[in-house]
Amino acid sequence: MELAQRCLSGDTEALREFTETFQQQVFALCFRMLRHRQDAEDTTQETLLRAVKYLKSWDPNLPLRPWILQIAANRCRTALGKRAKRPNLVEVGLLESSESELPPSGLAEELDQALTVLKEPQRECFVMFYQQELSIQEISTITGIPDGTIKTWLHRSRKRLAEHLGNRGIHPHSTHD
Amino acid sequence: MSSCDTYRNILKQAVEQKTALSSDTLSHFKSCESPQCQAEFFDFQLLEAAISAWKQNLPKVDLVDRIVGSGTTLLPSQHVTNVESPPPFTKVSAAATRPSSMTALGVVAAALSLCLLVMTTRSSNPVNSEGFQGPSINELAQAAPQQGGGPPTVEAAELESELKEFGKLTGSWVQGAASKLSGTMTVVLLNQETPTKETSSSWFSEFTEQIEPLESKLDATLKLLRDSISKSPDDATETRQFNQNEYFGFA
Repeated sequence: MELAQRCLSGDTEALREFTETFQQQVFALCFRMLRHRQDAEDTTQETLLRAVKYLKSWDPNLPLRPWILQIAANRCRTALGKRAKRPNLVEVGLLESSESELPPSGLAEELDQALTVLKEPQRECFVMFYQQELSIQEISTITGIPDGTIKTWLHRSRKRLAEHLGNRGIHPHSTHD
Repeated sequence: MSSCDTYRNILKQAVEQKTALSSDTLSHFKSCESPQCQAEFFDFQLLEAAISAWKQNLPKVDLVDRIVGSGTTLLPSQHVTNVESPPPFTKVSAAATRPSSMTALGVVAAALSLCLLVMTTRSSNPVNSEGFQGPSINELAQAAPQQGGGPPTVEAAELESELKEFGKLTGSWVQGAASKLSGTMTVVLLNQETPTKETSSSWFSEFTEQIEPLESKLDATLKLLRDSISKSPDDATETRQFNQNEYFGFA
């Protein structure tokens, strides 16, 4: 809150601090959602700049991080919507580039690939829940989806991912890393 | 509800609340022979291991300079600064306009000087706007045969053509000067296209009004010359000699 106030007062150092605090978290969500580093970086930048621009509209009674992640999720959806109009890029370029950018890590890579079988809203909830470590209530606030739905999606997602990994012959003790 | 169902619910809640499994729950799943419990626990362990590895497997980014670089303009105080200080374009424009205005004034001054010079040069010739204080056209026309020795009608025609040429020259010069001035003002006042056109056109009309008496005098002189030629062509031989001072009207 203090940081937000400093940003609102026009402190450039506060903007730097603000970026340092949130860039990795925002990038993590964008990277998981978009599965493309460059796109994720661009969306992260766009998100943080938007957050600063509209910081006045943020309710200081609510936590800042979910508010910023909400902007990020919206930007990711917009980016994915744009990308859907270019199906060739999704099929050929982006998924491959996401794979190549991740260091080889066996089980992590397998899960990353498995996430592609999820529908976009379920993947978003999964990423927010595990990557961002947000609670179901926080995700509900951010996405506007009821708690019960998020719980259902979470368990379904886990089941599908486990099936996918199981079909790939992976078991809990077969971690390569 | 069986104990297996109870433990599976506990497992579900642990997932939702991200809490660790109690030793009691763990011991149940490890010892339970129910295929459902075994499958659920297998999936749980598999996903916990995968998620743990997946979370750590994320590239690091440093977008601070990039974001701060483009974000400083969004800060509220920067907004105020930008509003208070004029944009660079205005500064450049103002700086560029001042010398251009001086150049325009210079061009106008040069044009007027040239105009005066032409007038002065022409005043050494028969045409004089000061009420024919120098030798009149008639006198010149009469003197011309003695100087050239040719027939007076030819000389008069030459004079007439010279006058016409002067008229054309003056007119074209005025038009050229006006267009140059208009061009200069257009360059200077880039953002005021319409006012520029109005300024240049009003200036030109003013100038045209100023030279209107000169044109009428020229016409009158020309008419006079024609009349004199048509009335007494032989009188041209009876002209008197002019010395230099008389010629220029100093006598």
